Amino acid sequence: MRNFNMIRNILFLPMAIFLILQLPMSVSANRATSYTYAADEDKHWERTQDAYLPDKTVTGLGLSSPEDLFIDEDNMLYIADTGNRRVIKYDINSGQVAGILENGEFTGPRGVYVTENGDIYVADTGAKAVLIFDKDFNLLNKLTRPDAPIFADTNYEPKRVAVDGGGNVYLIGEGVYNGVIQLARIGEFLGYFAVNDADLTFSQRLQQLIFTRAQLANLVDINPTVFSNVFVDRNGIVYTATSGTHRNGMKKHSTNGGNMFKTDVWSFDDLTDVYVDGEGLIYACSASGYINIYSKNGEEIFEFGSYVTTVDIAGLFTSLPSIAVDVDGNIWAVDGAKGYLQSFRPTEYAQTVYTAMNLYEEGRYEEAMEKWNEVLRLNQMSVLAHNGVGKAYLHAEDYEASLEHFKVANNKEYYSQSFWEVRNTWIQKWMGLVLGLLIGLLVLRGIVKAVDKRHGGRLAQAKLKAHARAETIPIWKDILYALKTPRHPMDCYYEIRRYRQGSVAAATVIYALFFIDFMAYKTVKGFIYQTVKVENMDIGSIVLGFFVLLGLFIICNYLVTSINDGDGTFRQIFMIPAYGLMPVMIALLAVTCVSYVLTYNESFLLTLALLIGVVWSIVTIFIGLQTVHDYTFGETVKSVILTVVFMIIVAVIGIIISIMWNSLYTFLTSVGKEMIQNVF
Amino acid sequence: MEQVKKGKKRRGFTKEDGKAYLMLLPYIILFSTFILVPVVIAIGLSFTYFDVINKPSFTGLLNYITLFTQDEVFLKYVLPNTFLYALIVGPGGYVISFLLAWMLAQIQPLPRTILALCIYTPSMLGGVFIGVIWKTIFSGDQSGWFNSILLRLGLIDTPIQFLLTSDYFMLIMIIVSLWSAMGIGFLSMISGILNIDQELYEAAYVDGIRNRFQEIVYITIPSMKPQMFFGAVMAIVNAFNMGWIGVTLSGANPTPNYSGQLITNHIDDYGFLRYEMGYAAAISVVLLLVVYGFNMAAGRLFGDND
Repeated sequence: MRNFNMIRNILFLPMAIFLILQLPMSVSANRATSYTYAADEDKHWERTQDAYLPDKTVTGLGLSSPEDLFIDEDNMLYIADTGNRRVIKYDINSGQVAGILENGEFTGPRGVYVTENGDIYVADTGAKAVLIFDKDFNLLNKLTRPDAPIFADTNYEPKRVAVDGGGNVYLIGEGVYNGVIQLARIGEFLGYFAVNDADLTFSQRLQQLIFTRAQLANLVDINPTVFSNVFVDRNGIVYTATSGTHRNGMKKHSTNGGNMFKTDVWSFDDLTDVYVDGEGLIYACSASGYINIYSKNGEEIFEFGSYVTTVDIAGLFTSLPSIAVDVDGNIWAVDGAKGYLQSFRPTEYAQTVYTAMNLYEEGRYEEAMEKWNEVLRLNQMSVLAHNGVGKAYLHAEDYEASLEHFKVANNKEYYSQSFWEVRNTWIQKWMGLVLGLLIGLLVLRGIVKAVDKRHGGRLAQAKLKAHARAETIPIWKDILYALKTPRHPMDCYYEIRRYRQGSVAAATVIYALFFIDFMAYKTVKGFIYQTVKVENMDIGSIVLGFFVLLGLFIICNYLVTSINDGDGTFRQIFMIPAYGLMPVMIALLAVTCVSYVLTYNESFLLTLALLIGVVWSIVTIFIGLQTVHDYTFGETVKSVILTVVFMIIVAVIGIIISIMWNSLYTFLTSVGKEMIQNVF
Repeated sequence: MEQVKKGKKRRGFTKEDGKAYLMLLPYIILFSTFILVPVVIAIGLSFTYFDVINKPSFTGLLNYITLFTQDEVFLKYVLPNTFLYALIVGPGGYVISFLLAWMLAQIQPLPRTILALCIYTPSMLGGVFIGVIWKTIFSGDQSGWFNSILLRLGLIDTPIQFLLTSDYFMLIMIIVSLWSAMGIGFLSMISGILNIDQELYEAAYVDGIRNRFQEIVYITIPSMKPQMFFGAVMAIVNAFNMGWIGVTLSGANPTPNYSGQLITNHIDDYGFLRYEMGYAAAISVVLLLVVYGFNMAAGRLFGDND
């Protein structure tokens, strides 16, 4: 079905071009020609309902490599028709050309911006100037190269232009690495508005650290990624597009030039334009033909479009230099190579999403929730909608209901907030009862003890007897000994050294328990703390890593210590880690259990518990090695370092052998095949 | 033991006892005027509504119920903050105090005295020092030392408002507190270590001790249990009472986004900014109970119960 439509569009478009030659004529297509994507709960792009449909295709304007678009409040579309050295004013409502701005000084107008009162700013690279016209196309002013000393000999070839309400001009200059050039109304250089960082690789950073100045001078200059476009919305907020990076390529700037987005914003690495509509939605396009739509806060909403070279398909581009959004929310894009305009109409689905977002922004949560529910009816898995409904419930203080939606949307931050409230209500409801029960139990225990004492302490004796009987089960006693080791490591490991306590069987059981404990910690923590979903985990490698590390440590330590005057036998070395593991085991178990009832607010408790457990265990095992091998502190450190080095060597050799084994296997099989072919 | 106690009880109040109590009188008077009576009054006030101007009106357990059910700031920020802070600064300061004391005990008397004085000074002059040193180091513009270093290394491109945003505030508070944690407890530990009989160590070496670590575990710590206990009590009290550090650093109570709000700040907030003395008293009583509980635990760990 979809293919058929695409073919129809392919056939239709050139036909339209040939039939209606010179007249600006718009053609409508009704089906999407590319898929729309939205981020799913794991931040992967997933296909979703069409958000935009190709609408009008305007050919016959005779554009030659157009580079920039702008739409003003009167729905007039300004096109920087670079190749023809002119700016075209196109009336979107009537579909007619409303005027053509030509000027003798134009050598290559590449950027156009129109202020609220109708002044047209044109950035011309060739003329090395920004030309300002009034709405009747009379030249008002010309901003040439600023003569400020700090501007020095920086390249001044304005490529894109934007103007804020105060008349400050923001320029993207060709070959300027310092940032966005900011000029005052009269053309005075104010400074670089925003600056991009140079993304250094690790080796470059290392070079910067250790190289001498002479050596650094010999290196290729490291330049920051360059801005490709700048836009100022009607509230005076500056947005920029940067090409050459996937992270934070699209920025919303505060007045001092910093990035206002709190979280990283993903974008294509060939961003060419950024545009913001009256409601604050941010549109960004990439040279390869993709259009992304972001919310005010930089959350990715939709992505659509694609790249095409030879055939003509409405909505797919050979190169996409610029987009603009008209007053009705339609996106207008221009193909830089083929020189035609294409508009996209938001579908009902997209419009519902936008309305819901706006309602939420305005604080009309109930209406927003209705709209979000509408979105959910259309697309049950929409992360945006689940987040929206969740937040609306949160504002309505229906925390239980919001939990569910935040869970689907995998929004841990908000889930934690809601959960805090749910837990708080629960605590308030049950705290009295729980405290009462606790005190009651304590009192009961006291009474039982007192009564027992009066009757000769039979209960206490029975308890002692039970303990004594448990002690007689050999392996049970040896396992319990692991509880004692971390508290008195020196004494306990001395006993192990003398073979008076501990056993290999018990150590094996402890390792098994630790493994179960560790896997539980990895896989079944509470929703907030389970950062990686179980289904996304490579369980096999975790299990393998666990046993290989443990086995390697024991074997390598034995090999290293036996040639370094270590007293421990292999059996003892096998037992040392096992008997020191109890603190970390208890910490892991506690963290796993408690993670179900804690929010982010109390996450430090978990971190602290883990830290204490791990450090305690490491210290215990260290003392164990020291005691069993009868080493001094220095000798123990040395043996541990040697063990680790040896482990690495063994691992590397293991990897080499496994690779060689593969080659050997292929070699042998090919020899076998040869033999079969030649001999028989 | 029990029989002796019972015997005493039966004897009743004698002249000898009277003399003993007479000797105790100055202490009893001082203790009750300056500690016991205020504490009892505070406990009394905690059951009332008192705004300093009107007469306190009795409200029963209302203050406590409000504290644990309605006060979101207390439950969401103050309680977790206090626990995080106390759990790190208490044991952390204690361990650092002991290690420094032990190291100082190993060197010659003159440098030891000088160094001990240096280490002790921050806890004595804390407020002034924090104002001068730490506020300069963590100043929020590019002239702040830490910001300046980070800028020069190219790790950040705009200075971070360390003391005015919530992101790093708790961390800075903890660092500053650890720096000034070497107080009275530290001094008592030095004296404790220095008073250990050197012959004990020699005897231990004869018995087979092989290194310094075993020395500490088997000789040093057991021989100075009283000082260790005193140090622990001081560390705990300190950990729960250092709320003023946050206020000094940020220059405001409440601290930015409640990020450094400890129980004592909360008491100050209600007691001396909002004049809800009854409520503030209730929080103080809770604090008193918490500190008392921790001291009991420390007593069981380090107390002389052999």
